[in-house]
Amino acid sequence: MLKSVTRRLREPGIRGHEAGAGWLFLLPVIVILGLFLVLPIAMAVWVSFSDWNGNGSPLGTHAHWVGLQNYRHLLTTPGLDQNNFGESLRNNFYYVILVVPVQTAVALLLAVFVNRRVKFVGFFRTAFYFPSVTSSVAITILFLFLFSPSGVINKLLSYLGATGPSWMYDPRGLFHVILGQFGVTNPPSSLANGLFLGVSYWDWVSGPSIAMCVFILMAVFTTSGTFMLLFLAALQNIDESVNEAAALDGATEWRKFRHVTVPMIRPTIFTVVTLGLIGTWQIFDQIYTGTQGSPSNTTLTPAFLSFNTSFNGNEWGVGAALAFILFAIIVFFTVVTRLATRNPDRLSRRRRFLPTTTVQSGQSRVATGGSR
Amino acid sequence: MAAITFDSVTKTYGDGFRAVSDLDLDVADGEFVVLVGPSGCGKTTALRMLAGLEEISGGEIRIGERVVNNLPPRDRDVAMVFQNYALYPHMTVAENIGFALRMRKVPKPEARKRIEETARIIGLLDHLDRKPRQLSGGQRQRVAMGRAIVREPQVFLMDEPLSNLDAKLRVQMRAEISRIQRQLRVTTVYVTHDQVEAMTMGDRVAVLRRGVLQQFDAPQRLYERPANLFVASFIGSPAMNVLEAALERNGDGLAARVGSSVLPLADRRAELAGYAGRRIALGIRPEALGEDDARSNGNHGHLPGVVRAVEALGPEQLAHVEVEATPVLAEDVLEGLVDTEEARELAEIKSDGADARALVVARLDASTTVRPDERVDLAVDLRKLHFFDLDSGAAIGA
Amino acid sequence: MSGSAATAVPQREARLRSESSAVRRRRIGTALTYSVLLAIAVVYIFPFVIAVVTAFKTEPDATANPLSLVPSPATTTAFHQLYKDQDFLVWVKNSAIVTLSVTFLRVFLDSLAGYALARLRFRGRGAAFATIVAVMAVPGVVLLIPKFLMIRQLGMYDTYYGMIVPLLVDAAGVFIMKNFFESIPVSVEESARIDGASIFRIYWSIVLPMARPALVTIFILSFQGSWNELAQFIISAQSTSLNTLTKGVAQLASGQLGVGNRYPLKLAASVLMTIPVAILFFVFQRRIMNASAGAVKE
Repeated sequence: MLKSVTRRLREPGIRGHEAGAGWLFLLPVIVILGLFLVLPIAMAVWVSFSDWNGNGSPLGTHAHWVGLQNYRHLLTTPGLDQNNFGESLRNNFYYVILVVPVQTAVALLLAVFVNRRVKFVGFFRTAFYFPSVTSSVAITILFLFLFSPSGVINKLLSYLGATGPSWMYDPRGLFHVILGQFGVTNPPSSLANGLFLGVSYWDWVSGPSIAMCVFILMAVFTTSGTFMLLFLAALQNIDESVNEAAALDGATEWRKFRHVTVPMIRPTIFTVVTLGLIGTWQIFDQIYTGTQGSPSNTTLTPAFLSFNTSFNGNEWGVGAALAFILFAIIVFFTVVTRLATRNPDRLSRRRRFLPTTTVQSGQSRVATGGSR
Repeated sequence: MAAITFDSVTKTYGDGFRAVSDLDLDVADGEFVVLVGPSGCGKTTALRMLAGLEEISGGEIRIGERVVNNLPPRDRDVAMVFQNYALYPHMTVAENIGFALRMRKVPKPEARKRIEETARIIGLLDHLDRKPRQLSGGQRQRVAMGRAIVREPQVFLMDEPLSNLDAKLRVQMRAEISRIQRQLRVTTVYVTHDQVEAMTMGDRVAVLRRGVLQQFDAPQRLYERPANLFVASFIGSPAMNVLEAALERNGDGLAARVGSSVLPLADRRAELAGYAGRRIALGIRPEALGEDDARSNGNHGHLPGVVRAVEALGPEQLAHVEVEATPVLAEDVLEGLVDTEEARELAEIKSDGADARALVVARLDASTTVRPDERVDLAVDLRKLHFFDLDSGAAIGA
Repeated sequence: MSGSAATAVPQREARLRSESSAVRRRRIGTALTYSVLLAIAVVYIFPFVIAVVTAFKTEPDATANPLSLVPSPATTTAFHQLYKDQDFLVWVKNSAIVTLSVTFLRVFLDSLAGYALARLRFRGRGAAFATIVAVMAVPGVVLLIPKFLMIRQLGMYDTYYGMIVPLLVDAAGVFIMKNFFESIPVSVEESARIDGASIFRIYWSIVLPMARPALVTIFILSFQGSWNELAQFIISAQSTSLNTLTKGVAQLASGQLGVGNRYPLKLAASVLMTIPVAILFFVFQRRIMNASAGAVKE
């Protein structure tokens, strides 16, 4: 026994120095992930509990433990920080609520159309996907131009005899504007006085500002192509015979879509919604490039606010705390979608992390079930 | 070139599964040995342990005088041909063949010479600049062979190298591999599940079942003196017929009673006499069964039955005859017949529960006129009977 | 007999009629499909056309006739301005340096790690993989402050290193490579082992050349990702000499300096910065479409 153990230590064995090579191969990835992901998160957790103001190192004497003060600052202590946070949450909430369903629906629609057997389908796929690969900075500038007061959209509207708003400069909430059409311009007293996170109830129900609506349209424009590809892969995975069977049963196009196609691509719909939720809560580049939160803070988002509070306001503790609250929000929404869409038919947790094939195999299972 | 020794080699996997148990095998220098058995019998595992691709859990493997248990594959001086050929798809034929030489830092001019030499042997001299995907299945197989040959290793290892070829090409390549091996005299261990391949190619054949060596012998010996029921039913096509028989004293000799037929035995060995009064498994090869005709004589017994099917094979005809007998459906027999026609037939009969009737296969002359549903009186060559212990399956007196 | 002959004719007519109506319905369907596709395509393409055209307009022209597809007068002033008044060439250089370093190193490091996770046997492999998957789930925006803190702590702030190194590894790329390597038959590597190749040699000479499709995928994703990256550059550097295209153009867009709206200038910059990705996109169109479908779905 001892002899075999010592021999094992001395001789590399038939697989050579595989363990050493394995760790060596992984080393760069582990070091970089550790250095720029794991350790930084730990450091930021510390900063979120400190009063560090950007001078020196947060690990040195410049930072002091302040407990939950930064979190309280955002969540319970009235003030500018809380007000900004409340507004950013409202803005991003409406952004998410509008972008996710619309982009999912548009992506599915595009996928259904480019899944038809028609000529030039490659051209159409390319056209719809192209906005997804271009830089968000370029797209934002393009939208700033399209929606500038004297821009393309307002020009088009003027042909229709309408006067467009000033878009990016218009802080009015969409719901407020609609209510205004019905003569409701002042808040009912029940909404006028209450405050939540420093924002009045009336302002909570404002809807996205007209400026934010531009970002919403832009998000649909840029992400629907990516999600179209996901849906397309799912659609192409559906067994043709299922559709034929439905057609033989006399189903119309719409009923076929509603009762055959949609149930079969359910897993992909969940994937798209989840990815959409994760993505939309993180909107940063567009805000940084386009408005930096203006007009009147109505395009402020938690991600941009977190950045701005830290890098420009030097309130690093508050900024870091905000980032972790955002993290919690994203985790919360992800978990809720997972729970809401849990399906006994689906794959185990572990396997869900595997790419393409999992989703597809999930679908094909549904497909065979349906064809029976 | 070197001899190979397996010294009670065992392979146990993490989950406790024993793929190979206490395997003892001596392969002589320059010998062509075939490991054969149904899938899951441990033959490939044994080969992979020899190659160094699988750790050895117990025992010792020696190549020449060297214990190789802990040597990585590249230090064992072996070359291997894989079932899927495992060619490097991005390299030309020449690069594929020359890769091992490059790894061993053989000088370029010499490598070039050896690659061409090898290409000549495998007949691909005109294809050296092709990529594997531009080659036919047979040509890829040759490249895989060439990759082994060019190394001039002590040992060739081949893992089902012909199973991806169509039947005709397989027969042709079988002969070619044998020729090359004879020409180079390199010790060769060859794994296959195909008993015909094993019988035609091996100097000696090792039959494995469930990780245990059943018999290690020259092909003809395996055929004529199978060590147990498993080997008996695995080797030979169509397979040996195995029937239950009662061994009785018959005058000063012995007789086997099969159903209502009595077959006096030519075999008078003492071990057999010890079974008198007991039931045994009686093995009869299809060619030991014939039509009762002028050639029958005192060496033949009789087994009447009804023809159920006739397969015309050209030079001969196979008659499936239902006789009054109890078939032996021991696991070793069924396992020896994996995936073959016989296994299906036997299983069908078994499921019928009609255990007093057995289907036997007889190899008849092409000239035979028997037709289905006809009665036939089969002549049994009494000198060619095999006897097995019904419980252990071991050949009696082996 | 005679009855069936009498009814046969009207039946056939009815069938013909229903067939022709089916054909007509299908034709209408196809026409409808095309009109919808074309309409959406216009919506998706028109903005880009406008962007290109406007880049060649004068500012008054762009403001007065935003919809016009003919610049009058056509001018390349915007491009000259970019070259003269802005550090556009510096941005291009920085973007190129960062993107090329990130892309090539990522392809290399991701494939190394992917191979180790797919094929090499060593203790801790499962744990390492689980960690990478977990890390993949952390949303990037949350990491802006943490990354900045670390980059500063390591003294990499305001250097190329700080801009490049944090981008060098992406868990998704490791994941793609791992999956690909697992699809290669093991026997090819075993054959190389018997032929005498070392682990690194097998990786370099056998497995990597076989992984070309996956490598191209990672290449495209990395190129596009790092060329379009903005947030990482905002937090890792402040010198204008380290501005990348995204950062420079974004600041140009949000900057209050200068007179007028300067849309031709901004759009010219946008158009130029889109060109490399557009070229990559059109060259590898098919592969990108397949890759992104696979890559997004973690």
